[in-house]
Amino acid sequence: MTSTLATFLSLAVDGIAYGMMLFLISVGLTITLGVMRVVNLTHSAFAMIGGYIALWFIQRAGVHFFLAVPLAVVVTMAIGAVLERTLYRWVYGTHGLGQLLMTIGLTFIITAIVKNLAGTQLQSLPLPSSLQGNFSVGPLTLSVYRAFLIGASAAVALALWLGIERTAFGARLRAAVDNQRMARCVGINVPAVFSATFAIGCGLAALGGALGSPMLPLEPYYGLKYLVIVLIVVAVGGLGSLRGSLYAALLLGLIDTLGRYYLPALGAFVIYLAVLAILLVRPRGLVAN
Amino acid sequence: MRIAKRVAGLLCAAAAVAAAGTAAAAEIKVGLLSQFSGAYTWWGREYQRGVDLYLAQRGGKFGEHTITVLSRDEAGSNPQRARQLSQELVVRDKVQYLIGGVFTPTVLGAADVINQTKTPYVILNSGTSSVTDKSQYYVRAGFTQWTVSIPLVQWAYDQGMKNAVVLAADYAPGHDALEAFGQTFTKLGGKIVGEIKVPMGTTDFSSYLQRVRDLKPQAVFMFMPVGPMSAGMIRSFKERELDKAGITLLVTNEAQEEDIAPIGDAALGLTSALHYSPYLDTPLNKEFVTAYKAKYGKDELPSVASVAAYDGMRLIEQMVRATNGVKDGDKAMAAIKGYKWDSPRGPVSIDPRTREIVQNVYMRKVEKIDGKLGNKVFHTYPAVKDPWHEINK
Repeated sequence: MTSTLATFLSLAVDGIAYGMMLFLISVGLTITLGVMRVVNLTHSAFAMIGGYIALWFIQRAGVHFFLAVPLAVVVTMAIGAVLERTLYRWVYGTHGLGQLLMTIGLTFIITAIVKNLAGTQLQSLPLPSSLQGNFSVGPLTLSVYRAFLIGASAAVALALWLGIERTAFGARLRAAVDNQRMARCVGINVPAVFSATFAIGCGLAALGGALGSPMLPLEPYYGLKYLVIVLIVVAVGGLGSLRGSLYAALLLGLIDTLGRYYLPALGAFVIYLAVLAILLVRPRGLVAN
Repeated sequence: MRIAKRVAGLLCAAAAVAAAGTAAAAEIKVGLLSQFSGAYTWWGREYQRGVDLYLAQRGGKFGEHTITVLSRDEAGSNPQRARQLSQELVVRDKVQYLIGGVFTPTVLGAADVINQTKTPYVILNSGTSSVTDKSQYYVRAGFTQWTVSIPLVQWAYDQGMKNAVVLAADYAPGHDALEAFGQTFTKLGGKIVGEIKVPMGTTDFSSYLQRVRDLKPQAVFMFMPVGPMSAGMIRSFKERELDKAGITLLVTNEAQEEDIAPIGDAALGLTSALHYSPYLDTPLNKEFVTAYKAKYGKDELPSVASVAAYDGMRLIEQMVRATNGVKDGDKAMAAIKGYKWDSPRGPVSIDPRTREIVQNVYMRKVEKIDGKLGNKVFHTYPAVKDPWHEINK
């Protein structure tokens, strides 16, 4: 295998890993935005909360990495559920700009709380020894952590798909999305379905934030810093489409990583050019609803 | 009655003269400009600590003059606000000296004010060399990027590294660093095989490190703004085992104790050049660190910021004594040109031509010291003058 091909494949794997992490963080938002029609700009802050809680479990409670992450997901889901029942009632009560302002305000509040509790220093989850190091596949050297990230995200994506297509809850969710009024008529508790979906979205964001912390370090301003890339994934994928956000995340991850290597003069701008091109061709996203 | 009025008048006059007399030995105000909010509060804390420690050791007075420090928040890289703050401090609060500055734009924001009011400004940060040329009332107690970069390049060349890649963040200080590293290395006889600019805000460094691997240099000279970019790059460098591929990563401020802590053990062995390390093994530094820990906590460590603030107050003391507490910018500046003293960072002096600080630059390696990551000094380049000013005479 030539070294250019090896380089390309190595970059491709990196790009896919990055994209998968973006998918995890963004998929919850595409659901909230597309399904519940709520502009929830606090979403990336939930990713941060998940990361910090996992960090707390590992550092203060001495819990192992592979237990701390699921625990953090559950705790963040609980936080999301509580907020949804309380603060978000107000958010549902307004439209567009009102929702935007409220959720951005909530992000600022969360940022301040986290800064007070955790400090401004960057932190990331210490990886267990089983996830450290590299392994070789032919001439390629891949990092164990990135391979794990790809695997875990793929498993989550599969579980999500199965959950939506094959379970009763998934059927209720699809019904509520397609025609809310009809779903209510048929006896589906739409608010309950949406609340559960919101919590699941937060949990997924938490998973992305925790697993992705070596690449996106945790700090109080995380919620604002990475909000744009998350919104891009959702917009390019198509609001409300899980498949769309998966394709968009992978595509953008690949374009970003490959672009930075092969077109360094354009630097970080490659991804924005790509977004522009995609949205010009398909304004409603890759998988329009 | 008239005599009583006269006597009363004379007494008042006498009291006024007496008051004016004691006012000469009364309060002198110093304005401290730093970051006290937002993402850079560390700088505010460190400057305040250095200033407070120095004053505490002097009993709050320089000679007979009591010193009051007024701290103001620059709040981000905001030159307009810095200008406004310095104006208020000088005109309304009547400070005689300004000290601090965290970013180049904020330091330069005060240039007009200090020129018009002839107020000396002791610069504690901003690594840009040309700043001191913008006003004759600037004196630097911090460092410049050129000062620490040249010894780093010299050291690498002396170790036998003949080809290198320069890797810097894509913004003005990064471009300066690219120039400093590149020019110096080429002048010594080395070869720059690649120049990589990393856009600000990058979080995934895969592409850039892949390029480093493909270029196969012996050394990588890196300059990143301290924060997620430097931590991410250093960590990714280790994860990709580029050090095992025979490539040495060389940095300057990115290896500060405060910033390598989040990187963890991946930072072990990192070689850097800087003008200070809290682990510097001299009696004066050991005293300084002990005093710092006694005042601020046994787990706390001084840094380049607190040592700059500490030395900055020393400069202000020298200026206060030379002017006898009366505001005279020109006399004050004349007093510190050529001034030499022993700082916790080693013997230092102020270059009379450029008003830059001349100091030692140390080569350090990150090791585990007392269970924490710290920089151990293994080589000293003595009395380094700011190279940019030497080149651009």
